[in-house]
Amino acid sequence: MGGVSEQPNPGSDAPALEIKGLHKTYAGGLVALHGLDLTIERGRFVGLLGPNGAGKSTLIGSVCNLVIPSGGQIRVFGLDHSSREARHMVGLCEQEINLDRFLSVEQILIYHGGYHGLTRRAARERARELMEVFHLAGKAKNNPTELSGGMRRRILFARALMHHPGLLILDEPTAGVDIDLRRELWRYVRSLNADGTTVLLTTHYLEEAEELCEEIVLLRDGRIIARDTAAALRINFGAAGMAEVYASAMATEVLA
Amino acid sequence: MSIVSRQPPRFSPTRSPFSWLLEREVVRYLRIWRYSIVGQVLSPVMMLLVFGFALDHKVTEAGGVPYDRFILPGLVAQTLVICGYINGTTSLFDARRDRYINDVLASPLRWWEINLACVTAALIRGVITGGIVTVIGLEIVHGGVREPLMLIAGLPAVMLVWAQIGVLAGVHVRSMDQNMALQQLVIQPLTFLGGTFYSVSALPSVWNVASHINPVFYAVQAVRIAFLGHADTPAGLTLAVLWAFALALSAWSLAVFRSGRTLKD
Repeated sequence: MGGVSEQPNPGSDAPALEIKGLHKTYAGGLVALHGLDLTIERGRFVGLLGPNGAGKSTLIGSVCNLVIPSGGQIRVFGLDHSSREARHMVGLCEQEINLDRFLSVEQILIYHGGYHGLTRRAARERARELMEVFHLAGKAKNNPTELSGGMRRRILFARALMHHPGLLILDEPTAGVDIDLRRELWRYVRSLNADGTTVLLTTHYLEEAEELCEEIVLLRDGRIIARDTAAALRINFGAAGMAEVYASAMATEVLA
Repeated sequence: MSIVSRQPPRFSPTRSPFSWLLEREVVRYLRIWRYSIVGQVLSPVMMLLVFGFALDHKVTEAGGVPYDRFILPGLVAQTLVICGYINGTTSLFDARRDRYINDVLASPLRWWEINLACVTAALIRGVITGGIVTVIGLEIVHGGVREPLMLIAGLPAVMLVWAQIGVLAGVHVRSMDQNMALQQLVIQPLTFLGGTFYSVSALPSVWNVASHINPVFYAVQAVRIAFLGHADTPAGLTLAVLWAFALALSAWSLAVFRSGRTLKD
């Protein structure tokens, strides 16, 4: 496939994501992240849970160069997150449906591949492959505005995967998606993870996080308040299920 | 699970990401060519016909030439001004409002490549629409190009100035209303006072001086010198001012893209 090669990357032993002292204060003075540290080893499937305003989207935006951090360090596979190589290694499926309304479904995928350096032929082949996987082939020439919400979600997934990212970031990707599509999407993401793709998922569906993720990170007020496997978290919080863990964790006092 | 064997791919583009973004920017306006090309050609051609024929009997001569031939350069310049401005604002503002700019910002595209793609797309649009208006206009007024070198040296500066103004506006405006207000309160008055329909030498001294700080005025002068061989300002001064505007605005625009502060949170 053009544009990418299966060469080992410079930091071949480095974690997929390494965040040290990440701090973000917005222009209005809102502190979204308080010196956050987070390391995700390669090939892991990690869930990031927290209420609205916990800092999940700021964290993801910082990793993906959509938010300018106020301080700290972010490394993707050992590389500075703002480098071209690091940006090429991250695939982002955003919570918001942000599709280019001037392009068709196929063009959206092809141009995304192009921004990651693919040739037209390679981008077209990959787009066709993903449109088959996500049942979008019949809608290739349609504009996303003509499609249902579920279809648009599929396009977001396909777009994030166009360039074979090593780290796939899914920011509430199944919000408002019916159960069949959710199952189908998770089956595919699981297979990617099994193939070595590192996955960072934010979701409000606690049972989904428990079922899918090897580890769960609980975030509140811009700080990580707990991190472990779902089973260990249940034990640590003396809870029967993740909903109880979540409720207890969010009620815990956070030290400044 | 084979974590070790599946290494993330190294970034080695086989086609420049810049060329893809440029292509996308051009595809965007070609897809809506009825509005983006035909609409912008029709307006100056209609003005040429209406003003040219309506006033041709009353204003027999302006700047030593028939009135329709006098206003044509200004209408071509206005086309370039509006094309450059609208392309930058609509492309970037839409991308920011609908957040699909994130797809570009998160990609390996460099900040200067994003700026260059937006500006180059506006220049291409200017060449297409300005070229069509020129060909049709010259046919209507039976005119020609007296100073082709002025076209070559001056028009890129005219288009660069307005493409960068459009890009800067597209980066900064926060709503469609703000965008429209900017067009109606700033850009339209500037184009109206740019000397398309009159020679500034006929204006009272205050307006004459005011015209000389209007960038549209120099755009009109550049095209008028190219078409007619003369205008209100000498060619050297016109070129110097236009390129000074172009370079200053490009520096500002590049600084905005480099910092990323208005494009990112």
